[in-house]
Amino acid sequence: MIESVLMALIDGLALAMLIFLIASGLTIIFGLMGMLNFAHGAFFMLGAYIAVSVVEDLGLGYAISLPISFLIGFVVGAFLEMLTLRPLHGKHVPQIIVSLGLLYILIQLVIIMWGTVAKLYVPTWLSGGFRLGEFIILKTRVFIILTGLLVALVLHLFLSKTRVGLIVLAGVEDAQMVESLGINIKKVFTLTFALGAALAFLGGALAEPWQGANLALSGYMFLGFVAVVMGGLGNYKGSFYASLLVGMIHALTAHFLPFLTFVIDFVLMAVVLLVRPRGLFG
Amino acid sequence: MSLRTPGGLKRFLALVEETPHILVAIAFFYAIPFMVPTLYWVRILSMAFVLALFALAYDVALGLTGLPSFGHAAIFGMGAYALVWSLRLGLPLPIAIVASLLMGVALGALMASFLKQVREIYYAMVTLAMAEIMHMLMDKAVQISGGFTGLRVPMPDSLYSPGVLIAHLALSCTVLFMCIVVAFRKMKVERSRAALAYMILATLLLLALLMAFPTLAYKAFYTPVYRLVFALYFISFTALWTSYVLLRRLANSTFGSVLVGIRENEERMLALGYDTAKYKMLSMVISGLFTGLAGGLFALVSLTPVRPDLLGAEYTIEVLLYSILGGLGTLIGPMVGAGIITFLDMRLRPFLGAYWLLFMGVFYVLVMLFLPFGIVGTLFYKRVSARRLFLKLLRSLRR
Repeated sequence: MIESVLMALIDGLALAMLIFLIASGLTIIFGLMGMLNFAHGAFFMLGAYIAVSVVEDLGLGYAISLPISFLIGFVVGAFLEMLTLRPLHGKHVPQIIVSLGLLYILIQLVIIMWGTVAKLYVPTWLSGGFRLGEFIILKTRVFIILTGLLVALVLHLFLSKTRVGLIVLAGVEDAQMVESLGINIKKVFTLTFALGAALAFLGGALAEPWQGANLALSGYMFLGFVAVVMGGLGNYKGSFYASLLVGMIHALTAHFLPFLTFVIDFVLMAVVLLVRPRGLFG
Repeated sequence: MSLRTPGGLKRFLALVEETPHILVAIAFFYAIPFMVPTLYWVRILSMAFVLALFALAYDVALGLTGLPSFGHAAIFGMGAYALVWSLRLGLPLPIAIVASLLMGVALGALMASFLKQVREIYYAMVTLAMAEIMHMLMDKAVQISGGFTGLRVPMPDSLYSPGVLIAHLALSCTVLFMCIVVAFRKMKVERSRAALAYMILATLLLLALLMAFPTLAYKAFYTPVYRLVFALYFISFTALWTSYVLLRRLANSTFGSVLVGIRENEERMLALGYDTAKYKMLSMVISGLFTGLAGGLFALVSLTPVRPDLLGAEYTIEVLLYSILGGLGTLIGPMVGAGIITFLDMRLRPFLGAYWLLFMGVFYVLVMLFLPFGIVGTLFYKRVSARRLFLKLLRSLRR
C-alpha cells in the first residue's frame, strides 16, 4: 500500500512538472493578452512528436531534442501569433475561436505527418529505474522532475530579474499602462506567446519517454487549464503550486479511483472558478 | 396567433405576406425530396437540418446574447441520450422528443445558473468544465451510455407508417398552394415580376409533385426504408422551420432587443433598469431547449448509435464553426453555415481524406480573420453585394 502511494506521488510530481510547463505559458498568455489559448494542447503534443523525429529521422540524441523542440516551439509560436492573433488584437472571444481553429489544424498536421499510430522512444540512459528494496523509482520520472524544476527556476529568474521579463510581468498587471510608457506591446505579445509555445513544446519533448508521442497528449491541456484556474489567471507562481496540487490529485485518482480520472480535475476547476475566481494562490 | 379569432385567416395571410421568402423556402424544402432521384440527397438534407437546428439554438446564446458557452455539446449529447433512453423504455416518439426537450431545458438551466458568478472567458471555462465532467462520466458509465459502441436507437414503428408520408405530401401541397395564393395576391396589388416568377415556380412544383405521386406511392408501398428516410426528413425539417420562426419572432421582439443590448453593452442595459441576469439566464434556457431538441433529432436522424463522443468538445467546435461561417447573431447565418459545411463534408471528405479536417481548420481561421461577421452577416449587416464582398476578400488577402 505505502509503496503504491509513494509511486503515485512520484508519478504525480513528474506529471506536475509537465502540467507546469503547459500552465505557465497559458497563464502568462492569459494575463497579458486576455485570451485562453486552446492551441496549447497541440503545442504540447507537437513537442513529443518532434522529440521522436529528432531521434529517429535525424539520428541525434534524445538530450539534444529538448532544446531543438524548444526552439521550434518558439518559432512556431511567434509565427502563429503574428499571422493569426495580431490582427484580432484586443478581441478576446474571436482570439479564443481562432486558437480552437489552430488546435484543429495542428492536430490534423500531426496526423498527416506522423500518422495516428503512437510512437515511443526511450533512450538507454533513461530506461529502467533505481531500486530501493520493494520500491522502484523510474529514471524517466526523476529526469522529468529535475528538468521541470530547473526550467521553473530559469523561468522565474527570467521573469523577475531580466528587463524583458519585468516588462512581461508589468504587461500582465496592466498592458495599457506599459504601452503608454513607450513600449511596443505587440512585440511583447509575440514574445510571450512564442515563449509559452516553446515551454509547451519542451514539456511535450520531456513527456515523450514516459507517455510516448500520441494524439491523446493534447488532452493534457485540460489539466493545464485546471492548474491555471487554481493558481489564479495570470499568476505564474500560483500556477506552479497549483500544478503540484493538480498533478498529485490526478496521479492519486488515476491510481486509486480510475473511474474518476479527469472528472475530479474538472470538478475542482469548476468549483474554484465559481467560489474563488481569482485562484487559490492569488 | 390564433386562426379562430375573427379575421384570423386574414391576419395569418398578412403575416405570411410580410415574410414570403420563408414560405417559399418551406414549400421548396417540403417538395424537394419528392423530386430527387435517390435517397442520398434526402439523407444529406436531413442531417443538415438537424445540425442547422443545433447552430440556430447556439446562436441564441452566443450570437444574440453574447454568452460564450463552450458546453453546448453536453446539452446536445444529453438530448440525444434522453431520446434514446425514452425510446428504449418503450415510450412513443412524441414523448421521447419531449424528454430531450426537457433534458435541454434542465441542462440549459444548469449552465445558466453559473451566469451569476462568472462572465466572459470565465464563463466559457466553467461551461467547458461542466461539459467535460458530463462527457467523462458518460464515457465511463458504460451501463447507461453504451460506452464506446454506444446505444442503438430503436426506430419506433410509427416512423414506418405511411401516415407520415401522406401528411408530408399533404403539407407540401398545402404550402405550395399557399405560395400560389400569396403570390397571386401580391401580383394583383403591385404587378411585381418576382411574384409572377414565384407563382409559376410554385405551380410547376405542385404539378411535378402530383405527377411524381404514382411512382412515390409504389416505392413507398414496397420499401419501408424509403418511408423511414422520408419520415426523418419530414420531422427534422418541420422542427427546423418551426424553431426558426419561433426564434425569429423572439429575436424581433422587445425581449430579443434586450438580449442584443446585453451583448453590446451590459452595464448600459443594467443602468436602463433591465434585470440583465434574468434575461441572460432565460436566453441560456431557451438555447438549451432547442439544443436538446437538436440532440434528440440527431440521435433519430443520424441512424448511428448514440455515443458519449456526442458530449465532447469537438461538437462545440463544430457548431462554433457553423455559426462563425454563417454569421453570429443572424439566426439564418448559422443555419446556412451548417448547410454549407454538411454539404462540403459529404462531397469533399472522400477525396481529401485527412486533409479535409486540415482544410476545415484553415478555412475556419481564414473566415474568423477576414469575415468576422460571416457570410450572411456581412451580406446583411454591412449591406454589401456578393461581388463587393469578394473584392474585399481579395484585397484583404493581398494586404
